[in-house]
Amino acid sequence: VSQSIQNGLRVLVVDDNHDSADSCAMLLEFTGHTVRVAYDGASALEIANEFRPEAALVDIGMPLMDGYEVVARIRALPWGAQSTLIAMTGRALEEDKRRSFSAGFDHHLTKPIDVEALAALLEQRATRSKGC
Amino acid sequence: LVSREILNAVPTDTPEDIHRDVLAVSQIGAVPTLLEVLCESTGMRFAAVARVTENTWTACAVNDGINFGLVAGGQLEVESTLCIESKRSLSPIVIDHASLDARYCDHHTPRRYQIESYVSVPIVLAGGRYFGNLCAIDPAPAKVSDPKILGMFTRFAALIAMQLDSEATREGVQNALRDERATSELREQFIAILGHDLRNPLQAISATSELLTRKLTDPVFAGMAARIKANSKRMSLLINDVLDFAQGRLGGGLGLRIEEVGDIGRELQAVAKELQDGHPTRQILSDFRVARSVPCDIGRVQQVASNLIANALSHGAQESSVRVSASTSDSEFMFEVWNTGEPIPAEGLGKVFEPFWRNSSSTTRSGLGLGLYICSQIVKAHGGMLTVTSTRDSGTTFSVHLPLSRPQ
Repeated sequence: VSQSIQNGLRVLVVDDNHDSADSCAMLLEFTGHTVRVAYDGASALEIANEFRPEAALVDIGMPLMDGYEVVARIRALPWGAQSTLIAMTGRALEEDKRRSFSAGFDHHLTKPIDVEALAALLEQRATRSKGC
Repeated sequence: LVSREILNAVPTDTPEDIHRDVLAVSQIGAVPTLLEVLCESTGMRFAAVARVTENTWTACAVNDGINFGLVAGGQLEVESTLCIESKRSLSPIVIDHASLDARYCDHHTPRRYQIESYVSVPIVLAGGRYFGNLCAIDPAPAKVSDPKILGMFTRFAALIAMQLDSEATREGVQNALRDERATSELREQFIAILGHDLRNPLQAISATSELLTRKLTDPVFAGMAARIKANSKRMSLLINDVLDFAQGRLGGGLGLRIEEVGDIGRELQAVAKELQDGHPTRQILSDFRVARSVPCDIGRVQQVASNLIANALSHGAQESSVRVSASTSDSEFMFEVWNTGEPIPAEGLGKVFEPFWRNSSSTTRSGLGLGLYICSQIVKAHGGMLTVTSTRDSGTTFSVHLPLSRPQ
């Protein structure tokens, strides 16, 4: 991961596991992104409304409101279609991936996340917004 | 009679219906004893309760003293049996000595199963509904055409029918089905725990160690962080293996997503490069000549390639290179990984694809012993074959063969 990302993105990290969310957020901040963290689906939507993340990393298995629902609701927002939504989950089966995509995620990463792969996805997004 | 509903619920017999009937017979505590009594009093060494339909013959309970090899749930080709004839005529068949019997000396059943003596009586439920047969066989002749013996078979068959019709059996079947469902839920939970609950803490360890390796300027501390990171990666791969194992063994298979892969050589090259980067002091020589598309689940094929190359790097001679090649013939895609060094002992060769196998003479012991088993399962799920040869002179070669015709 390049430490000198010129166009850091606004990234929202959503995970009910605090350690997982916080460590991921710290890593993203260190690589030049502006990061907000939510530990449940409802506050994720609240934060997303004013933060308007260009990318969101969302855990799937969360109590009360799961990642599928969070993503469906973000997608329904006016700016939501543009956001790069990445599932970040312990579920690694083919059917889990298919389900992520049909729920509205753009990408599906299995925990523990491959940092290089995540960096590549965010860079793709950064280049895209520069191009627009 | 209420009880007939269990067996009569659906007009056609699906595999679930038959499974339910097998369970129903297993709920009748007296059946094993009845079969034993039949064997003892006739001298015949194999007796069974069979569920018979126009298309299936399924053993529900078996007393097997001749290693015939059938167990409850086991099936025979229905047309190869005499039971189907007993079903169609709804009458008993009794043979003392098949090869001397005018009617049965040329019959395919005694010939095929090499049996001489045979008794089969239909089991008829309340309302006249045919269930299957109570039958006994033996490779030796026996004097079974005795009215007393036939009477015993008939009475036992009636007893079994009565039990199948009873409410208690019906309840037992419901309970057994519930138990099965509970077991499968437990299995799902187990897989979920492996997949989810173990990966969450690992995610935190992995991300934190990643951050530390970047932030720490003291090379000693950065090295420690790198070690934590490398081990969390290793742990993650172990979880993948256990998950694949549990999924393949307990669940509904590995779930391949087969697609035509245009440039499989490039995909395999990516795997070889990743391993080369991780082992800078070693040499991986690749020779990929695949001119056509290959139908496969490329992620899974890469997993196999990665496993085989990593094995070659860790078990092969450290000073020698690892060779990797891929090619196609008219009918198959072939991928090989070769290394020199200490060969796999001859007694281990037949076992390398078994779960939890580890080379006892190997000095490294890092994995669970599931890697090659999972590889072979992946290859098998593609309708292909994974083979190994290993000698001191020609080295160790693992070969993956995948059919080019699309697996069903």
